[in-house]
Amino acid sequence: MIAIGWCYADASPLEPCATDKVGNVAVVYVSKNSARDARARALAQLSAVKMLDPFLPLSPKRYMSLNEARALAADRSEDILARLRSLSGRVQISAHVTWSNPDQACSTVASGRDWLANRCARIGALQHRVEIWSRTLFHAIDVPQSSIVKEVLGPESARFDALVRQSSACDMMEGIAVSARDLRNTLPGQVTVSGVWPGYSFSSLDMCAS
Amino acid sequence: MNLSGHEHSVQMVSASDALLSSDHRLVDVVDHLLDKGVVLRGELWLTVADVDLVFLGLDLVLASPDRMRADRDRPV
Repeated sequence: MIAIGWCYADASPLEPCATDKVGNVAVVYVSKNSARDARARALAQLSAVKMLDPFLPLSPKRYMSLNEARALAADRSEDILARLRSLSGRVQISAHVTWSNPDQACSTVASGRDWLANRCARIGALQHRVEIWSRTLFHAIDVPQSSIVKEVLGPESARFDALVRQSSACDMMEGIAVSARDLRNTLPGQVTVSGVWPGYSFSSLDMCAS
Repeated sequence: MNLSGHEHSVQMVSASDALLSSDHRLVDVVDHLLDKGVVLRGELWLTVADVDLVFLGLDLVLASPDRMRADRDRPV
């Protein structure tokens, strides 16, 4: 049996998921056949998030046995409960953006100091661009910037994850897509809006402890 | 085409379609996403004479080596 996440102890999912109680929480697990790789585990988690609210997902790239997940639940039950409360009624939607960066070509630098200054300027410009993308894509939907996880994936790509109410997630995805289409002439790029996902970017147990 | 000459496109896709797609862009999107979720992180500071020299940030994988190897060898 392979763990895919955690939920409250009184939740009762349907196939392909099952639960095993550990105190106030329960490990959600599937058979090995349903969890042969990361994508299969992620598909099982999509089933789980439809049946279980809240559902705390294990990273699909982590292969954890039922016993290991039970041990973690016993050891970190308060952290898991806190994270479950924060995910209640909510799911994740994501926007993956790539763009071309005309400033990326590195000019010849005379010294190490110049190289460092050049690098600092490029990082600053990248962070500025990511902020503009975030504000522009999400301005039309009611999600505060503080609830958006921004991850720079490279000099020409970034991902934005937002935790939104499950009931309005599809409308919000459409709202982001509409905002993105309006950017054709001002902020060109390739935007992929995807969802609904379990709250992957809002599930770190270390975030609970901080 | 637009001001910078870079193609502008917007795509909206369901999570299940993204997971089942072989489109390289969606594969890239999914690959980054599946790294998230519950991960236990460890931190290690190497210190000499109260001077912090090296910091290691570790993602702890809670699985036996045999199990990880079996998972890695499975067909994708």
